[in-house]
Amino acid sequence: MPLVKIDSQEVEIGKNETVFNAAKRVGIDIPFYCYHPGLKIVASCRMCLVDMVGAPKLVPACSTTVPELPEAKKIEGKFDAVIFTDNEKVKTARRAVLEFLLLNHPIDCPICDKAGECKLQDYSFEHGNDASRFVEIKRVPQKKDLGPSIFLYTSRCIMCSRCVRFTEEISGTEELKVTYRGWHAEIDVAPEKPLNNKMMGNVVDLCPVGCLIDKHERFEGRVWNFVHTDSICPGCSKGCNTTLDTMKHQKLNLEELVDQVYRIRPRENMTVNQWWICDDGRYHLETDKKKTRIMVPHVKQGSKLAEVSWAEALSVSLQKIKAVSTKEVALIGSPYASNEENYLLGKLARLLGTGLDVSKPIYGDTQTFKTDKNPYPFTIESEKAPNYRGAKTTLSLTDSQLDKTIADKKVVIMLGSHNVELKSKPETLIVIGSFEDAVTAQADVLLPAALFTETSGTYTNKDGAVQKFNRAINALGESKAIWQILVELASGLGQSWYYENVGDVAKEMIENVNAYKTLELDKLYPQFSTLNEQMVV
Amino acid sequence: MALEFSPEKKKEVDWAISRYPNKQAAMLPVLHIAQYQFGYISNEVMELVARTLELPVNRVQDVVTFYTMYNKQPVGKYHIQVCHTLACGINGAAQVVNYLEEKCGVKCGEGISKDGKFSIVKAECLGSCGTAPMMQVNDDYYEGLTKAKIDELVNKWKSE
Repeated sequence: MPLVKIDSQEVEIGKNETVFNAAKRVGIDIPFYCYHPGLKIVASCRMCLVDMVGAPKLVPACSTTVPELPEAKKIEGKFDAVIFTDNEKVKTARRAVLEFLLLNHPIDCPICDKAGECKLQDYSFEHGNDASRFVEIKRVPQKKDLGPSIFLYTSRCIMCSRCVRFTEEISGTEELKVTYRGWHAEIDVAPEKPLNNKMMGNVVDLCPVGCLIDKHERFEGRVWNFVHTDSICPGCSKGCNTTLDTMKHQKLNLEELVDQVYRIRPRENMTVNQWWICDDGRYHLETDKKKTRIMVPHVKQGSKLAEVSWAEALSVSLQKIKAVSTKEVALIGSPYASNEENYLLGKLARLLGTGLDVSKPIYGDTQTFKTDKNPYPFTIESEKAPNYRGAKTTLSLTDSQLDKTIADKKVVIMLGSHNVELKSKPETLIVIGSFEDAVTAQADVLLPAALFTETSGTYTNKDGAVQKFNRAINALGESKAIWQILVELASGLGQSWYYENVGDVAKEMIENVNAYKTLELDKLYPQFSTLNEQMVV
Repeated sequence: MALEFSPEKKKEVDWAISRYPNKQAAMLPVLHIAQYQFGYISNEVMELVARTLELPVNRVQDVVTFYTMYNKQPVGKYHIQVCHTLACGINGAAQVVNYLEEKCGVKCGEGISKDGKFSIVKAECLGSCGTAPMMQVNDDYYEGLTKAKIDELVNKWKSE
């Protein structure tokens, strides 16, 4: 293996490893704009230029590899290359590159959504000049509408072409292109062919500056106010890793602070979603907003559902359950609930000897984004539930036979009511759910459940990877986490369960569910961090 | 109806494609052939080329907008490109442009004259510095320009 000296550190560099990656490995950060691990290397931004001894001029670190030299030619007797990433020559080059990039940049950071996480800002501060020598008039191209969800602020663009390469190499839809050249170069779409595919949101994350802006997020908040929480996308059984950016949002007429999720971004996980998520996942909270959320417990009085307190709703439920024999009760798990919640439901069902089943997930379209240049094709799965495999595993069921299970039951308790079609309504229907639909309208008792953003737990994706999502915001209204509701129901039925938090449930689940025996609790529920590790069972 | 290459041009296109290892490599010659047939590269022409080379239209637009010698707008029967780089510039390219604008009745870079015969643009060095000032009209060079020479040429084209 070639041995290189980067600044003062000795590094063994792989045969095809770039200087950039080797430096990163030993903790030397080289600034960059056009490089992205998931895209083809073009070395066009020139920000990562480094000084390589013997090279006639500075070389781009992102595309330079080091060959092994014959013994006699080694530098200082042992190195195949000696590289400086921070000497005066390199610093001058960085200053020059930044001066060029800022020639036509509007520097409208105060109104730019990227401000705070913008590479141009960061590097200008770190490596740039304090003043520009440019005295001519700036070129000011106008903002363009690229498609249903993206704006292009042309004047902010630094021509790194990451977005263009994304549509060429990852989504394979090829909507974006570079038009004209030099001073006049711009990103553009073909007339009447807007940027419109199910992965387009990713170009906004890819843009190192504030050029590509998401219409859903524009002017909604400043990035330094955000709190970041690791989460898992519940959109389909793929289980993409995401980051929820939440913000304390003060509404004009309200004194209290309301938590809200401002945006969902992909989080790198090489085995599941690489660096990307699809737009279904990215904007699915927007779709949720259109549905009516159940905020408080309801009990049917006469033919109408009336709002009641938690205590009353629980006592009515317990009354109904105790009125019949346990054989006439069925508990229905959900592919939309976490492993822990399904586990507790299964535990309760076995202790009481009631019927047990799981509802079916919704099935939709599947779509695969595949190109020759991308070794990891991205598939949006047809199974639109995050945890069908996990629910079946924790409940020890092979398939859903809902109609058969509830046919002769008098009391049915359901976790969520997605995609459930009741042939005939059982005598008593208790639904623990988040959104109103056809089934909740028929319910006798309605218990409001927290969404995945409001509670913690684990989902098992289609390949068996158990991944943890974390609570990002407070539960809306009076809703509670499903596991808490189940514990309260169980204690009313004479079980003395005690769990301090959902981690306790997970601990018990790992001990009792054979398939999860290999999981390491410390990694899923680390005490002092929200690091999300995934393990395959 | 979608545009098509004429039979003769189609032969040229096939020949151009056959010279390269893949179809994408033939883009520049095919675009030139298209420009000869249609006069300028419109969106429809780009679509035709994209179809011929089995590429997305975007890749073709990318290339067409990069190069200045593909006309993105309609041009006159006589497309006059006046060299304005150093040698021609010193020898009076600006006066040549002014005089041509006056004679042909069209401003430089502003479309086609009313009779549809002329369009004028400035060009970067055309490699004929020894005979400056000069201009290229369609495929021909006219060198060592003087007022008299321009008069003679423009009058001849006008009377055609």
